[in-house]
Amino acid sequence: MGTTITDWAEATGAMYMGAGTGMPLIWFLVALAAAVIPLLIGFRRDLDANR
Amino acid sequence: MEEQLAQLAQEVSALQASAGVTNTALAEMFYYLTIPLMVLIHAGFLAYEMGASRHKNVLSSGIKNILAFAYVLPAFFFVGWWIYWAFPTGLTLSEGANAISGAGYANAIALPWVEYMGPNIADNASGVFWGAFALFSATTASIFSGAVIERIQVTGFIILAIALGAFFWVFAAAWGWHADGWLVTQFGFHDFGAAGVVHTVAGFFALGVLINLGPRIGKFNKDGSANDLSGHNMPFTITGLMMIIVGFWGFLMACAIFPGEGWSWFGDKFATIYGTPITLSALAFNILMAFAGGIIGAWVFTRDPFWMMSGALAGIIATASGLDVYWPPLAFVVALVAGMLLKPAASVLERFKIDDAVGAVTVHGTIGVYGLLVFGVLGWGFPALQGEGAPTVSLFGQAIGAVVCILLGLVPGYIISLILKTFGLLRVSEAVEIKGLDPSKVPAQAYPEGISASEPAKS
Repeated sequence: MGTTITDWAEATGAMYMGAGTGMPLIWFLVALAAAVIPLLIGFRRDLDANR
Repeated sequence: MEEQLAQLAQEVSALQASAGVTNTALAEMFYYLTIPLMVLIHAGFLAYEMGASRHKNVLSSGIKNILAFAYVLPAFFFVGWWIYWAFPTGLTLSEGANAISGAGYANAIALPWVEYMGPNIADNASGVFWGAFALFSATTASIFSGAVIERIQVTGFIILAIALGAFFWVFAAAWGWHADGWLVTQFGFHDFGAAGVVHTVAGFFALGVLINLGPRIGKFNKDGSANDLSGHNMPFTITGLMMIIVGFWGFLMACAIFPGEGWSWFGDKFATIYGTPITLSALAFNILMAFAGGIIGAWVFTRDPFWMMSGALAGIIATASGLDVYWPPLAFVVALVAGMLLKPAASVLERFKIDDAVGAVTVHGTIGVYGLLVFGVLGWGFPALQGEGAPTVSLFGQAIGAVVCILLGLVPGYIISLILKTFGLLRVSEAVEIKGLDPSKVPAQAYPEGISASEPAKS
């Protein structure tokens, strides 16, 4: 992700990784997938436990 | 002389800047501290539900509760916060009179990838506001959690918790807990402490799920009479309830808008979420009196510590809509009646063979509606918003709000649980339920050495 900040004196607004670039949108999708995939694994486990 | 005046102006200016920094830091700290206080609600729900579970299901109840918390938080980050700011005026996504709502506003401040949704040196408010609201969401999901213990599938439950915590209660909040909300601007709906938008929605969502989930095996006899499936640890449950009460101080504190900031309603006093004035003293008076009233009311009818502590919660929920304006003795009486209503209301549910394991439908749903309506009568005529010509509180407006909250809980709870049931993701199998959820699904033991009475030391 990185940053465009090279001197903290320049930091006057958003200062998180990738701020001002398109990366946060990509990581949003990655985070979404990271939440959904364990849920799918959980579905499988629940169905197995019922057998 | 001119030099002295210039110096004075400079000093005043520096003083103002310093006061501004102090106010901003205090405001940020104020909301920040509500977050761990509200986490106590979850610690309380955890203890409450595990205590209310039988030996064989203790850890499963805990896992379910922890996962609801874990899933609702990111879900609220991903979509819930945006919904709250986008939908106040209804489904049109248009901007309201205060210009703090609508799709444009929500896109600017609440989409997950905008500059306010992460560390920002120029923004001391968004993170703590979002945090407090995320905890409101998690609380709403946890309210429903206790009702379904000992037979629900974990993942089915997570889906339901996300639906309630990150979607449906948020619509209720946007409509009835926002200065641009249509329930407020058109009907004078007033619900300071979320008796409707949190408790009623969650309680009726639980009811919708329970209809499809069915009772625990052994709960009802063939003749329709109910058996008492007591949990394994009543002291744990009661302590949990007390922790929930402690956490509610954070919840209600976070319902107040701090003064003196750019986003504040007032420069010199706290406001409600509707922009009407409030003091924290009002909360201190009324929460404590309601707490006491609820316990006493439940004690009169039940003498059961579980219902007495539930009565404390019911007392606060019953008065939550008007905690900003109740007269404390009135709050006491309203809460006392709420405490008295609990057991009879729970018995009515049992007559319909609804197995609400912890009384969530009763404490949050029934009492939430009671609180909304009672405030419609006792708070009649109070302006629901600031400014001339503001709509006023009425029984009609509160009743409309109550119906909307009931529907926003009951309908999605029923439909989503029905879909999950169709796919076999709602309830564990009969064999798993009889054996116990812990031995069937959890690779750990709650009490590896059992629970036995130890011998007293010989004197």
